[in-house]
Amino acid sequence: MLEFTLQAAWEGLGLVFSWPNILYPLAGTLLAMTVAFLPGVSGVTLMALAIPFTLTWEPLPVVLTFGGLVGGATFMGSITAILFNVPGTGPSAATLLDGYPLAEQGHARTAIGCAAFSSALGSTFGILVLIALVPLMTRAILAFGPPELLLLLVWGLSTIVVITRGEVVRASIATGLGLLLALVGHDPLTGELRFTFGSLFLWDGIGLVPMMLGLFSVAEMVDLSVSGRATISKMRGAGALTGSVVDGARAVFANFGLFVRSALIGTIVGIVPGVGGTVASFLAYGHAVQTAKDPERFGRGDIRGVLAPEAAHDAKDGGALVPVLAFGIPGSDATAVLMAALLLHGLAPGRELMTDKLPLVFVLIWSLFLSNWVTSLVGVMLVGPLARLTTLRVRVVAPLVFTLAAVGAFADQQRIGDVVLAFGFGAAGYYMKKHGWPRIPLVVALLLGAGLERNLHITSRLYELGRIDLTARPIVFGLVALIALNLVVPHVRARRAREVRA
Amino acid sequence: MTLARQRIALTAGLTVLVALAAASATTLGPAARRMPLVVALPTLALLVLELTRHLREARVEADDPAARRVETVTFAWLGGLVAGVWLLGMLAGLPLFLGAYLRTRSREPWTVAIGMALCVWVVLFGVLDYALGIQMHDGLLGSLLGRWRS
Amino acid sequence: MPNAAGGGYDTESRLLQPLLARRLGADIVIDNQAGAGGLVGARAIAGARPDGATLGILGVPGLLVASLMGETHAPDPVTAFTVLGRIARSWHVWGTGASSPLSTIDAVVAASARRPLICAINEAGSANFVSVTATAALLGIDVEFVGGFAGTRSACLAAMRGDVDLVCFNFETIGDLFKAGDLRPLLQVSVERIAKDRVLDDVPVLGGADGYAARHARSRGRDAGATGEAADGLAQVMGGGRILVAPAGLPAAIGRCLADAVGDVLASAELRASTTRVLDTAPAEAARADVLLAARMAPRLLPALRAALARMRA
Repeated sequence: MLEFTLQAAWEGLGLVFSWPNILYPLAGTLLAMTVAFLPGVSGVTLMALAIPFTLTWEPLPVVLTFGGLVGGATFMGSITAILFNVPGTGPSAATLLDGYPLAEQGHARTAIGCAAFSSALGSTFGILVLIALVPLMTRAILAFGPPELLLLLVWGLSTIVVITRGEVVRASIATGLGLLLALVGHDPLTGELRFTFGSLFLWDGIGLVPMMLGLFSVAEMVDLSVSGRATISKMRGAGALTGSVVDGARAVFANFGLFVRSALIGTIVGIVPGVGGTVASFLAYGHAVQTAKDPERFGRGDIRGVLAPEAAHDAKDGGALVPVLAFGIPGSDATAVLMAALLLHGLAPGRELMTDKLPLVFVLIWSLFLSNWVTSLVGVMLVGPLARLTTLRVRVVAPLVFTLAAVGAFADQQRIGDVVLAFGFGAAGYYMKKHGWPRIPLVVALLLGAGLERNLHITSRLYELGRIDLTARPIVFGLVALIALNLVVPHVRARRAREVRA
Repeated sequence: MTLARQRIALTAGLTVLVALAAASATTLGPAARRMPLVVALPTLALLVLELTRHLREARVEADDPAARRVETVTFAWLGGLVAGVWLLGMLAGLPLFLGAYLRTRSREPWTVAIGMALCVWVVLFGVLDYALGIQMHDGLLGSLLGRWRS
Repeated sequence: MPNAAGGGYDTESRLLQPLLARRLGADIVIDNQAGAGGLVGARAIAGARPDGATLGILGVPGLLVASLMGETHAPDPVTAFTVLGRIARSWHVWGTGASSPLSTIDAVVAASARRPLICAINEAGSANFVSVTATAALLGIDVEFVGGFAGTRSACLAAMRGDVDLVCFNFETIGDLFKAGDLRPLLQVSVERIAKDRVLDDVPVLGGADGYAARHARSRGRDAGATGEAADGLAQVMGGGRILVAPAGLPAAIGRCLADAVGDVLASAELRASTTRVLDTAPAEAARADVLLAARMAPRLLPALRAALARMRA
C-alpha cells in the first residue's frame, strides 16, 4: 500500500513540475495572493468565480489551478495581520498576537520572514505526514467521533484561557461572552431561534470576520489615534527599521523543536473533520506559550508567537485534504468550494479518488505545496516595501484601515449589517483593550462555541442511548490528560516560581 | 468620568448584557435553553465578582482629557462611516469617508485625500464589484432613488 | 441565489449562467444572498420587482418544511413565485453503516419493536428530519433523533462508526458512500426507483401502489391504499426539487419568454455536457404542477412532525 502511495506521489510530482503544467498553479497562486490582500476577501470568492471558467477544462489543469488558488490565499492574511493588526483570515488572528507587536518595534521584516519560512516548511511537513497517512486515512477520520471532537474543543478553550497571563477570571468571562455570542441564531438541535430578536440577519449567528476586524483592526487604529503615536513602528523613515528576513528564517531553525510540534498540531487538527485552521493556529500558539520557559514574553513581540501559528496553519492544509478527499467533509469554506469544483469534473471524494485516481490527488497536494512555497517566496521578496508601510503616518493609515475593515466586513457575506457589527465590535475591542480585558478568548469561544454545543449534545445523547463505549476510545483518555495538564501545569509553574523566589 | 468609573461602567454593562441573555434564554424550550444557561450563569457570577472587585478598588486615575476628546471624535467619525455606508452605499460612502477624513481630520493635502479616495473606489468597483462579482450595497438613498425612478 | 458562493445551488447557478445569458442575450450577475437556510435569498427573490430582471433558484422541500415549522418568514413557493422550470430533483434514501446488523428495512422494522432506532440528523426541522418522522410514522417505527451533526457527511460517519443506526439524505449527496460500500442503502423515499445505479438494485421503494409502505400496511391489516397514498405524498414533498423562479406577478409576455428560454437551456445538450451531475429538468408547466402537488401534500406531514419536535425539545 505504501509503495503504491509513493508511486502515485512520484507520478503526481512529475505532473505538477512539468512544462506547461506548472503554469497553472503559479497563475492560480499569484491571482489568489493579489485578491487576498483585501481582508475578508478570501480565496473562496475567487474560486467560486473560477468554476464556470474552468468547466470545459480537463480535470488535470483544474486540479492544478485550484491547488494554487487554495494555497495562494493563506499567506497574505498573515502579512496584513503583522503589519496592521488586520487578520485577513481567521487563522492569521493568532499571528497578530506577537506579529503586530514586532512590527510596532520595527521588526516587521523579521516577523514576515519568520512567517514565510515557518509556513512554507510547515506545509512541507504536513504534506509528508499526509503521504504517510494516505493508507490509514479512513481509520484516522473514523477515530474522531463526537466525544473526541468535544474534548478537542475543550482542550482548545482551556489552552486559550490558561495562556492569558494572570487574568484567568477575565479570560473566563470573555470565554463565556464568546460562547453566548456563538449561540446567537438558529439552534440546529431544536430548530428554535435564540437571541435573534426576530431578525433574519442574526439567524446565522455572528460572523467571525466582522468580529475580528472590529475587535483587532478597528480597535487598534482607534487606540493608535488616541495614543498620538506618529507611525505604527514609531519610526519615521525606513532606515530606522531593524530586523531582517534572515533573522526570521534563523528563528525557525533556532526553535526547531517548537516548529515540529506546532506543525504536528496543525496536521492533526487538519485531519479532524470540521475543525478549521483557526483552531490549529491558536492551539499551536497556546502550546508555544505553555512550553516556553519565559511565557511572559509572549504577546509583546516574541518571534516564537509568529513561528508556531504559521507552522501549524500551513501544516494543516495537507492534513485538511484528508477528510475532504476521503469523505467529502470540508473543514473550511475554501475546501468546500474546492470540493464543488472537483465534483463538477466527476472527481467525487471517496474510495475511488483515493485509489484509482490517487495520482490526481497528489497533483492537488503538490500544487498546494508549490503554491505555499511561492507565496512565501513572493512575501519575502516584497518584505522591504511591505515593512516600510509600518512607517506610514497613523493619520493616513487609520482611516485606510477603517475603510478596509468596512470592505472586509461587507465582502465576507455581502451584508451591510456586518459593517455595523464590525464597528460595534471595534468600540467594544477598544474599551476592552483600554481596561485590560483579553480579546482572544472572545474570538476563540465564538469560533468554537457552535461545535462545542453540537458535540456536547451529540455525546450526551449517544451516552444516554448507550452508544458510547469509553473503553473503545483511547483518544478520549489522551485528550482528558491534555486538558488536565492544562489545568495543573500553571499551578505547578507558579509554585515553582514562588519557591525559586523564596 | 474617571478611568475607574469607566471601568466599572464597562463591567456593569457586560453584567447587564449577560443577565439579559440569561433572562431571555429562560423563554426558550428546555433543550434550547440548556447551553445558554450553562454558560450565562457562571459568567454572570464571575462578572459580579469582578464588579465588586472594581467597586472596592479606590484607585483614582485621572483620565487624560485630550485623549478623551480624540476618543470621542474618532468614534464620531466611525459613526459617520457606518451611517454613510448605510445611506449612500459602499461605492459612494467609503471613498467619501476616506477623503473627508484625510482632508478634514488628518489635514492631508487635497491631492492625497482625493487620490486615496479614488483608489478605494477603483478597488471597490473594479476588483470587488466588476472582477469578483461581489454585489455592492446600494445604500438606503440609492435604493429609494432606484424605486422612485421606475 | 440563496446560498453563499460555492455552496448549495451556487454551482448550479454558475453552470446555468453562461448558457442562459447567451440564450437571452443579456448579462447575468449572480448575487449570493446566503442566510437562514436559504430564506434570506428566497425572500429577496419574492420581494423583487416582477419585471423579469430577477431570477432565482429555490429548494422546494426546504421552503415547504420551513412553513410547516411555523416559520413566518418563509415565502409560499406557490403564490410568491412564477415557476420557470426545474433544474433537478433529488430523493431521500435511508442508509445504515456497512457493518450494522440492520441490513434491510425489514430488519429495521423488526428491531424497532424491541428498542427505538437512532437516527443522525443535522438539524431538527430540516427536510431530512421531516422525511424521517413522516416515514417512521407510516411504518410504525420508533425513532430517536440525535441532532447537531455538522453536515451530511459527519452524520454518515457516525453511522459508519456505528454510533447511530440510521441516516436519511439525498441520494445524490450520499450515493458515493453506498457505491464505496461505506453505507448500505435501506429504503428509497420515492415513488419509483431513484436511479439506475446498481447499489439500488434490491432496495425497496416507499411509495407506489405496491410500494413498501402499502405492503407493510397490508401485512399489518391496515388500509394499504391510504398508506400508499400518504407515502406518495411524502415523496412528492421531499422530491420537490430545485426550481428556477421569478417573483410572482410577472407580466405574461415576459413570463412566457423567460420560461421558453429556461426550457431551452434546461433541455440543451450543452448543459448536460457541462456537468456530470444528475439533473432532472422539467419545463415550466410540469415543474409548476409538481410544486403545486408538493405544496398540497405538505400539510399532511404536520402531525408526525409535531410529535417528533415535541419529543426533541423536551
